[in-house]
Amino acid sequence: MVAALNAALRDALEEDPRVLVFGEDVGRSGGVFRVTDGLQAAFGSSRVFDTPISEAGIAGAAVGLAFGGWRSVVEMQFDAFSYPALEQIVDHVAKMRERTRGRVDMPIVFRIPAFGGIKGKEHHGESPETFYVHTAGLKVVAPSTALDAYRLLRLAIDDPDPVMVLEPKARYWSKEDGELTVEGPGIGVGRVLREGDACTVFSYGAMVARCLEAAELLGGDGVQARVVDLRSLSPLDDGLIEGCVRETGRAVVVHEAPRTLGLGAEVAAIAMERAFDFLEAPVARVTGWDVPYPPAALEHRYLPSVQRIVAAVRRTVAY
Amino acid sequence: MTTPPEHWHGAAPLQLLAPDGSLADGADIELGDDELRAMLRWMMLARRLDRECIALQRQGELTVYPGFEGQEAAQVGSALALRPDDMVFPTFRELAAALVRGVDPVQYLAYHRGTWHGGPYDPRATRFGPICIPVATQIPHAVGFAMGQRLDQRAACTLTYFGDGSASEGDFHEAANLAAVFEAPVILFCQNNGWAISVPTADQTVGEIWRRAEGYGFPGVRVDGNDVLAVHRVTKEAAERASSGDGPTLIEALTYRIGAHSTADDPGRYRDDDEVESARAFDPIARMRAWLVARGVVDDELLAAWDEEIEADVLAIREGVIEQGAPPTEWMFDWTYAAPPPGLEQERQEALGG
Amino acid sequence: MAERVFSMPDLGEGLESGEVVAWLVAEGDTVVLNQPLVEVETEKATVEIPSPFGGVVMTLHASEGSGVRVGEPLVTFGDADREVGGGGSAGQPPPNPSSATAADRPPSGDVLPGPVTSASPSGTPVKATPPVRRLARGLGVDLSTVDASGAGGRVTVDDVRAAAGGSRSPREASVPRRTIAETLGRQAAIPQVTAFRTVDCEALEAFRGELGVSPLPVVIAALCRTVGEHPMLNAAWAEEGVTTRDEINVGIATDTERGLVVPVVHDAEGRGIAELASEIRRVAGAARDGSLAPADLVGATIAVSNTGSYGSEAGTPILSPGTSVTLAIGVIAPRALVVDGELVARPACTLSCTFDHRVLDGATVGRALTDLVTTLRDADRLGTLAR
Repeated sequence: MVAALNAALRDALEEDPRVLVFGEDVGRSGGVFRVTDGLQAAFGSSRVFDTPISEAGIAGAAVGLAFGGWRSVVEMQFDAFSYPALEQIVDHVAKMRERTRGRVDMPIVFRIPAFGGIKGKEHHGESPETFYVHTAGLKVVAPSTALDAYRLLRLAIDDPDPVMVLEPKARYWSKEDGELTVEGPGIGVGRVLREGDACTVFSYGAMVARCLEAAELLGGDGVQARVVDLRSLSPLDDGLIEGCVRETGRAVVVHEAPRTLGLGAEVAAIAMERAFDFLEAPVARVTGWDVPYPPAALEHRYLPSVQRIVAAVRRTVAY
Repeated sequence: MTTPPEHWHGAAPLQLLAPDGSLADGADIELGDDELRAMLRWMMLARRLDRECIALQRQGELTVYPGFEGQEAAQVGSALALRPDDMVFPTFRELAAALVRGVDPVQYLAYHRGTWHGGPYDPRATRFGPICIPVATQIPHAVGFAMGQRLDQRAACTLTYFGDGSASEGDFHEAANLAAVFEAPVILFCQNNGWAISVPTADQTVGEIWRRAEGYGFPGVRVDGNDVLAVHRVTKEAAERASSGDGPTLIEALTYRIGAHSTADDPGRYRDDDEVESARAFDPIARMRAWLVARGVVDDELLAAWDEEIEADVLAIREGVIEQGAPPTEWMFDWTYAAPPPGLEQERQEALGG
Repeated sequence: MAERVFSMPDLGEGLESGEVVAWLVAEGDTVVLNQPLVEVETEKATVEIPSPFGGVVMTLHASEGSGVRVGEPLVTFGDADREVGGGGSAGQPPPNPSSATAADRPPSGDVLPGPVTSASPSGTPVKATPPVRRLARGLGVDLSTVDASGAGGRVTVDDVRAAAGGSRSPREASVPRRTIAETLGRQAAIPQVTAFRTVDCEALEAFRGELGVSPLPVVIAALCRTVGEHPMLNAAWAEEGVTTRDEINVGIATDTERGLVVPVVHDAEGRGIAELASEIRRVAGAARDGSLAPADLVGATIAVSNTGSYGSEAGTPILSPGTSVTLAIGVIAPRALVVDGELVARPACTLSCTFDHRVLDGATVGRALTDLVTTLRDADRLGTLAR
């Protein structure tokens, strides 16, 4: 996935001379995860540059650069480190287009290595998506595979609206065969990764792989679960959620973020609002607990495991 | 001689025009008579409009309004030192600067009428950013914009206004540091008016604000913010530095907030009327008027004519403000996204009663 | 200049009222714009309110020391010639120059309806999943009367179906249902036979797609043309013998909640396909919501049933009263047909034509059906039907 993201940045910098890539350690050293490796050498330090440690300042500078017609691709080094920039993002990045009645737009991308599963230190495994999805004016995407990471990042950079790209760092080293292309599902569209009629499992980011694993196990027992990669958290593919619940009658949502007000709540609300008469069972949520993200030693007891996902699907199917 | 306000103590600010209207020795003003008249007239218009806005609020025509009486020279002097192409990122108290920069006051006041956030004027066309409420958050915007100007190799500068209170915010520090590191062609213009709502500057910060620049690695300047000539000069110099690629400047303009923080504030709860009366002795308009009259650049007849014109202008602005009604409901939905997601379209229909 | 009322403004961020501390003008005074009018005390401070108008102060609506709620009259201004005074109460004041914050009130938030429970007379809610509830509603089953066999005491789909059609507790037949049952009984007694034809619908599908209509109006138009050449299809058996009719009134068998209803499209032979389509829509809609006029229910001379709309391929429709022919149109779906000796996949359907054997014989109907099918199969012929 890192290579795909790197290629996406490279192609974007190549195609549009107004694209800038900046953040902490992204220039000379190519980023702590090497996502921006080689870009400064290729495009120069005017377009790909390191910044001081100033997340709020960096986000604010991106706003000012947007006033001048620049398209910033900002890296926040880790999920929790994006919080100092939260005010600039919520108060200005998200609102500037509306505030100026469309005269000043914010085509800014914030790339954030997000989610857990790497036995990281405190604050290095957060799921901040709810804060951003809840903020009108922002778009939020979370790829689950390398090829889709290329696609979503390219689309995000091209988008006239600001996009938060939450990259599942646990999947940074995953590989996928195929062509790097922007063709395919756009922002606002989910994709069905596995067909099935017994129950739909909705997920995104690093958990998608676990859902597919769970579906395989269930398939062995004759329970065919449909697996949907939501990939675009804002806007959500309401139509796909509705269609899947209509067709399978059952839904399980899987995410790392804590249960309360996680995306599971939104998917459940949509399923209920749009496909109430087709629900054969309550929508189940398999999520992180409502506690701060635990230390590495307990991570596996926090993150939705394949077993928890399988159990939830079974319960839902048996309801 | 009346005691100057508390927060003016410390290093002596640059002053060309003393409170009594006398010019400092060797001041060597290079401005033409027309420019000087413009300075005075703008300040007079600004003050009259500021008072009208307070009246409008008291009459229920504006929501909370933050006045700037006493700070006319700090805003007019600096705004006049900029060129048309330069960009300004204001806070919420810069109506005087907005007037000078050519922003339509009725559009600017839409913000305070509650009909639209930020003011519905076009920031790119007017080169004046949207009104910004969270203090200091506009400073990184200004720095970012200036960085972009440098990338585009434009010989222009960016100026951002903020107060003594804002200078405590993290965004100020981060922006100042970024400005230095990226040699941004930006002017960080602090109007130190002595008060951040009810907190006097002495409780806001210990060091003198202009000195911080040295810590970041660029020049800081202290100026008498009520001396329109001095403000104009230091801003012009900073603008030239910026546009010749010499990077940022921090200007601390010492001034005084004669009025309340806003119409929702009661300063009687935390400061003495005596202090305010003392501060009036340092009024920016009085000294400029006295000097220009003495110099023969303006006379009573001209001043009376200006008063009449200003009255008429302000009345027209009043009427323009009162005419403004609520915008159509759908405007809430029109500009949230470049292309609204389907869910938002449904909400729009619901909101419109469809 | 008319009277103008200045109401107590919202002086700060959600203020509800203010107390008049001191009037700075008196009734009868002429004041100018922004002249200090009154000192008002609020929770936050005492403020001086400047006059919003120039004019004569007619009435001061509150005395010093009394409170005025935001939005209530404070001062009435008027002409110099008008009577001054009038105490504290004014008539209905015209609206104040509206406060800037009085924008559209947001619509009240979405309130989800409360939980829908099918409570039994004793008041215990019934457990059932949404699809089960929907089924129960559709079948007219009161969930509280159904024995639940599902896990956790839940009523299941089977429970509902059993309750709907079970012999344990026969469901009261409604009046319309009984009438329909009696009529069908009589009609079934008529000697009737059904003939079947397969129709290659490729041309029909293309044709109707161009016109943007369903197959039904096209088939009816073609049927009218066929009846023109085979008028016996439009005849009826009567005591005195067989009566032929000139006008073609097509009964459209329509499925409704109350059972089968057959509204009539009168003078079908005089209507183009588009008109037929809209008339079909009208009567079908009215049939479903029970608003058919009596005139719409009588006079059928021939009947049509679009059984394909619920997936039926072929059938043996029962004759409608007053008619000798009922044509059922089966579902149009891909089929394996032999065309010019080759096996091809084509959209096709089966026409099931029941006829009154007292009026018609197999050969007559057979010839008529051949003509009908030929029309339906041929793009040129279809093109000659009135649009």
